[in-house]
Amino acid sequence: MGVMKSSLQKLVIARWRFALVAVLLCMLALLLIFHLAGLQVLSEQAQGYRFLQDQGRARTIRTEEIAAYRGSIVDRNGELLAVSTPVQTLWANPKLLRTTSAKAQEKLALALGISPSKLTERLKKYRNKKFMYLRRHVSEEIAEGVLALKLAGVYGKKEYRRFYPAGEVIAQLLGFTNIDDRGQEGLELAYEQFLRGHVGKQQVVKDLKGRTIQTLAIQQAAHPGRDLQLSIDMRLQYLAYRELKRAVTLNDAASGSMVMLDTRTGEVLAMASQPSFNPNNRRGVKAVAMRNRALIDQFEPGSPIKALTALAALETGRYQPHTMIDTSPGYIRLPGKTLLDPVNYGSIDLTRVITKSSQVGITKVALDLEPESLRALFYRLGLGEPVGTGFPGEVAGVLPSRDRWHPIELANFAFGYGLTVNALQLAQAYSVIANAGYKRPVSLLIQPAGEKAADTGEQVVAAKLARQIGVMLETVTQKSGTGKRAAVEGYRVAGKTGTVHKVGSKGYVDNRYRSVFAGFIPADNPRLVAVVVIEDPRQANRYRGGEVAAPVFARVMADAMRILQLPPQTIAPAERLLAKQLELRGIDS
Amino acid sequence: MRLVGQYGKFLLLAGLWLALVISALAVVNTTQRSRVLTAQLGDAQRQRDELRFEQERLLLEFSAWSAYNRIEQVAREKLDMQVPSITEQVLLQGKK
Repeated sequence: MGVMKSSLQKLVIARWRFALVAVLLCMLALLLIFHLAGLQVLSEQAQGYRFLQDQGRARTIRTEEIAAYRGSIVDRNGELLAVSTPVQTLWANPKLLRTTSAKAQEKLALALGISPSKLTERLKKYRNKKFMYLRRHVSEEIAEGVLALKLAGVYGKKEYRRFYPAGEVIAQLLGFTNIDDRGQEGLELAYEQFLRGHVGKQQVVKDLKGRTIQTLAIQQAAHPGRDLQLSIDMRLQYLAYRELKRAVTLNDAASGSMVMLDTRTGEVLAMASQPSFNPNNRRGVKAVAMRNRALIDQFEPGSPIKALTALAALETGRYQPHTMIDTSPGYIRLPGKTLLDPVNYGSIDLTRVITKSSQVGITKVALDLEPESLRALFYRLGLGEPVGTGFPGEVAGVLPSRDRWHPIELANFAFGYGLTVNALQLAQAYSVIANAGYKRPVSLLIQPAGEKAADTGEQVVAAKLARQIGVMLETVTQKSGTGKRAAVEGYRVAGKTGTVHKVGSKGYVDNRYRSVFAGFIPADNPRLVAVVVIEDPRQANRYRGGEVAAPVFARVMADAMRILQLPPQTIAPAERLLAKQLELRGIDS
Repeated sequence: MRLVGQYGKFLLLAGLWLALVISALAVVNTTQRSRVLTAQLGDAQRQRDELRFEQERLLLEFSAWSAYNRIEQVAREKLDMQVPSITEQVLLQGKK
C-alpha cells in the first residue's frame, strides 16, 4: 500500500513537470518561428531578410571579367605584325602571404626567380596593402611552378603581352605598347581606340568548387579590339629594310630611311628606318632608334626638287624639254654667293640640265620664273603640308612664303634648299609625276580595291607636262646621268639624285652630306615610287646621292619587280631560247 | 454520397499533392541540368580560348620559321640557291 501511494505521488509530480516542460518547449518553438518569420518577412530589421540575402549572394555570386584582347596588326597579305599573347601575372595579398612560414616564402622567391631578401623587403613595404605584384608577364612554366606551391595569398592573373614577329624590320612604324597593353608610340598609339579591347563584366553564380553554375547578367558586354590591316607589304618592307641597313653600314652613315609607294593607289608599301630596335625587348634602346625617320624627320631635299622646278618652267609655256640654256662658264654669280657646276657644261637643253643636275642651268631657269608660281607648284604637289597619315609626330615640313624673293633665295628654292620635307612628302610629289599629274592621298592602311575604291585624287598638273618630266628623269639613270647606279637591268627607271650639305651649328658644313634618291619604276608605266635618304655617310669620296642612295633603290627595285611579278621590259627572245633548251633536252618543240 | 464527396476531395488533394511533388522534382532536375550545362559551357569557352591562344602561338611560331631573312639565309646557304640574272631568265607570254 505504502508503495502504491508513493508511486501515485510521483505520478502527480510528473504530470505537472510534464506540462511545464511541454509549454516551455512550445514557447521556444514559437519563439524560433517568430524570429524566423521576422527575419524572412520584416526587412527593416537590422539583420532582416535583405541582409541575409546579401550575405547569401556574397557567398555564391561573383562578378567576373570577360576577356577582350587587343586587335592584331597585319600587313596587306594578312601576315601578323603585332599580336597580343596571353601571359601570366603573379600577384599576392601581402597580409595573407606574411602569415606563411619563412621557409615557404623562400621557396616562393626561388620559384619566382628573385632573391628571398628582396621578397621580404617588398612584403614589408606593402604589409598594409591587400595587393602587390609578385612578377608581371611571366611564362606559363614559371607561373605554374609558383602556383603549384599553393601558398596562401598567391594568385595568378591572365594578362596580355604584345609580340612583334617582324621585330626590327618595321619597328618604328608599328611603335609599341606599354606593360598594360596600351599604345605608346607609332601606329599602336595612333589607332589606340581602334585596336584596344574593352573588357566586359558578368555576374555568375559559383558553387563550392568554384565552378560557374549560372550566368545571371552581363553587366557590360566585352568588345574585343579590331584588327588593323596596313597597306605595307612585308616582302617589300623586308627588302627595303635589308638594303637600307646594308647601305647605312657600308657607308658608315648615321641614319637612313626609305619609303615605297604604290603609284596606282597611293598606299605605302614599305617604310623603313635605320637605326632600328627590337620591339620585343626594349631594354637599353636609345630614343634615336625609335624614330620613324620617313615621317618625323624633315630635311632639305636638294636636287630631287630640280625636277619640280623644271616642271614649273614647263608650265609657263616658255620652256620645252629641248629649250637650250647656256650654262657657261660653269658658274653663276649671285649677290652673296657664286654657284658652281663641277665642269662647264656649255649650252645644254633643259633635259640635260636635269640629267647632269646642273646648278647653273636650274638657277638660270628659276630666276626667269615667277617666284610665287614655283612655291605654288610645290604646294600643289603636297610639300609644306602634312601628308595626313595620322602618324604621331608626322611633320609638315617648311615651305616658306616671302613677299620679296632675293635671287639667292629663289635659286636655293629651285634646287631644294631653304625648304624642308619628309621622305613621304617627297615620294608623294614624285608619285604625282609618275601618275601623269594625278595626286592621290597617301595611306598607311590598306585601301579597298576595285569598284569600292574611293578615288579622292585630283589632277594637279597637266598630264602632258608630267610625262615630259618623266622622260627627262629617265635620262638621269642612263649612262651619262648622275643616277646611273639606280638603273635596274631589264626595266626603265626614272629618278633624280641629290647630294645635300648638312646643316651644322655654324650653317652648312662642307664635308658632311645627305644622299637622296627619288624615283619610280617602270618609267613608262609606273608602279612603284621610292625615296631613299641616307644621312651623313662618312666614307671619304663616297657621299653623292648617285653613289650612296641610288644603289639602294636599284637593289630593292630589282627584287621588288620580281616579287610583284612585273615582267622585264627588255624581253629575251623567249621562243628561240626555249626551242634551244628543248633541243638540248632532246624534246621536239 | 457524403462519403463519396469526402473521398473525392481526398483524391483531389492527393492528386494536387502528387503534382506538386512531381513539379518540385522537375524544378530540381531542371536546375541541376542547367547548372551542369552552364558548367559545360564554361569549360567549352575556356577550351575555345585555349585553342585560340594555341592557334596564335602556332601562327607566331610559323611566322618565326618563315621570316624572310631566315628563308633567304636557308635558300642561299643551305640550298645553295641564287637569284637568276636577267640573262638567265626567259619570259613566257601567256595568251591574252
